[in-house]
Amino acid sequence: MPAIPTRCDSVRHVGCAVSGALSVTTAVEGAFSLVHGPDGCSHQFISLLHSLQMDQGRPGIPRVGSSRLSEREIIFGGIPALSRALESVFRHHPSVIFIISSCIAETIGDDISEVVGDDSRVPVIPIPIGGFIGGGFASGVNEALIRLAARAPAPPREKSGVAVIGEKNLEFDADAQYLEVKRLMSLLGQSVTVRFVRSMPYESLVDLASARLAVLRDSSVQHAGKYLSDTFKLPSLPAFPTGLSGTRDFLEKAGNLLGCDGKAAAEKEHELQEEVLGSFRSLKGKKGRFGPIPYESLLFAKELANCSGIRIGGDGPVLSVPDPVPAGTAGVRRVLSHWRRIL
Amino acid sequence: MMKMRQIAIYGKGGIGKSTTSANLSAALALSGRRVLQIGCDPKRDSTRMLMHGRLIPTVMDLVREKGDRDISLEEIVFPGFAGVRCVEAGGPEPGIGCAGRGIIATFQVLERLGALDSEIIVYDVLGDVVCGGFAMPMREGYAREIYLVTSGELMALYAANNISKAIERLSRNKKSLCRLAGVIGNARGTPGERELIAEFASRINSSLAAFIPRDPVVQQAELNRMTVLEFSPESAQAGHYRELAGTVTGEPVLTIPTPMEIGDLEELALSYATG
Repeated sequence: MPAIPTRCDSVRHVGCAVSGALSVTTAVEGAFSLVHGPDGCSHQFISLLHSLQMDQGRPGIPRVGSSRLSEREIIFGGIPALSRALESVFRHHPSVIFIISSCIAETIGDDISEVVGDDSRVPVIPIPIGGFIGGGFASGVNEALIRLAARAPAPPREKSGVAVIGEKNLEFDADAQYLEVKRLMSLLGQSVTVRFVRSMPYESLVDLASARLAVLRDSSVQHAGKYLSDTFKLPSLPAFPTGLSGTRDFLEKAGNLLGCDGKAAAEKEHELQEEVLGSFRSLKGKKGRFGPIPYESLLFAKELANCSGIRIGGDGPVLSVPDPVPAGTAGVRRVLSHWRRIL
Repeated sequence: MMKMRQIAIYGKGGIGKSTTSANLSAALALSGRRVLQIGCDPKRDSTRMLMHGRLIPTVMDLVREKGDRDISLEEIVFPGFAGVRCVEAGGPEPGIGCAGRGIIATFQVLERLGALDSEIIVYDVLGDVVCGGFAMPMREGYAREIYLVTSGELMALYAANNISKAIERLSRNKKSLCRLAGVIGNARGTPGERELIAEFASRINSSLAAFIPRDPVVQQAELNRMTVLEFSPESAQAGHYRELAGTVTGEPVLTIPTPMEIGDLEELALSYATG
C-alpha cells in the first residue's frame, strides 16, 4: 500500500464483497437479499445496517436472509438449502430477490443461478460474487450495481434526467451528500430522476436507462459507470464534486455533457461560495495543521485553508477532514464549521 | 498394552491402493491381528473385496440421512473377511460439495463413536492429496506411518513424489506425528521397474517396503469378489502380501521425505525407460 493512500486503495474499500453487494441490494425498496452462506455472513451486515438505520431514525430489521449453510451443506453441496431458503423468501412478497454467494459457497462450487428457474412470481437476480473470491467491498458494490442495471429495459429515444450512481448507503450522511448534488443539478435546470441505488423502487430501473447523465459517487464505482456508459450510452461524471473550484468545474462539465450553460451555473455557485467564505472570516490568520489524510482529502483541505486564510503550520491543532470528503459547497461549509469549532 | 499402528496408503488414482490395502488388511488379520480398514475415498470401494463385493453404507451417507448425532457404531463398522472391521468414509456426489471436508467430518464421527480402536488401522486414502481435507488423516495424527504405492510409470511416481511433499510439509510442524514408512511397488511391467522404484524411494529418503509383481490372480480374485488372501491363499501373490504385512508390523524406518524436483524425477524415469 502506498504511503499516502488514495481513496480507491484505502482500507475503506477493502473488505467483504458480500457486504458490498448487500449495501446496494438492501437499498432497493421492497427487495429481499438472500446470502448463500453460513448465518454469520449475513448477520454481520444486518447488525451494521440495523444500527445505522436506528441512528438515522429508520427502525426495522433489514430484509436480509441466509441459506444457513452448515458443515453438512459444505460437504454435500448447498443448492438444496438455497432452494428451500428461496422458497421461504417468496412468502415475504418482495419486489425483487437478490441471491449473493459467500466465500464458502463459491469454494465448494455451488452455482446459485441453478435455483433461478422460470418462476415469474418475482425477479430473482443472482450475484455470484463469492465473498473474497470476487474481491473486496467495492467489487461487491460494482457487481451488484451491474447485475441490477442489466435488468433495466432498453433506453427510450427521448432521454431525460440525471442518474446518481453508487451512493454509499453505509455512509451516515448519504442523503445530505445527495441533496447537494440534487441542488447543483437544479442550477443546470436538471432533476435527478433515479438514485441508483438508494431507496429506489425496482420499477425505477426504467429511469436509469432513460437518463441523460450519470453522476458517480466516486471512483470506487467506476466499473459500474463504464457498464452504464457501454450499455446505455450514458455519459458520466466520475465523482461527486468536492471543494470550491471542484464544485464549479463539476457544474461546467455537467453543463457540457447535458448541452446547457454550465458556465453560468458555475458563476452563480461562485457567488454562493464567496458568501460562505465570508461567513467564516473569523478563521483568517488562525493556525492549524493536517494529520495523515488521503491525498484527495489533502488537496481539498489545502484549498479550504488557502481560501479561508488559515495558516498551516507545525504546532496548530489538527484540522480533520471526513473521508469521503463531503460534496459541493455544502461540504465546504460543513468542514469550515468543524474547523471553526477546533480553532 | 500393544501399541496401536496407524498406517495410511496413499498413491495415484488407479494404482492399486485399495487392492493393496485390502490384501494387506487380510494378511494382517490372518496373522492374528485386530485390523480396522477405513476407506477415505468418495468412491467407497476400498473395502469391497473384504466385504465380498458388498458396498457398505458410508459414514457420509448416514450423516446425510440422519445428521451426525444419531449414528451408532454398528451402522458404520462392518465385519469383513478374517474379521477385518470395515469403514467407508464416502462423500458427496461427484461434482458437488467438498469431499475433503467430508473426510474431516468422518474422522470427527469415528472419534466420537470410539471407532478408532484397533491393533492396526489401515487408511486407504483417495488418489492424490488434492486438498487439506485429504491430508487430514496425516495432519491430525490419525495416520502416522505413510506408505506410498507406485508403479514405475512417471505419473505414478509424480503422484507419490507429490504426496511426499505433503508429508515433508506437515513434518515441519514439530507436533506432527506422520512420517514416511516406505514405498510399495505395484508392478505395471515397465522396464527395470523394481530398481526404478527402489531408487526413487532412496532418493526421497525412504526405502522399498515391498514389490508386488503383476499377477492375473489379482484380477481373478476381484472378479470373484475376494481378496487374493482368501481366493488363492497358496498363490505367490498372497505370499507377497504376507511379506508386506510382515514389513509393516516390523520396525519400519520412519523418515521425513526429501521430495525430488520434477526435472530430476523425469530424468530418473527416462534413464530406466531407455535402459
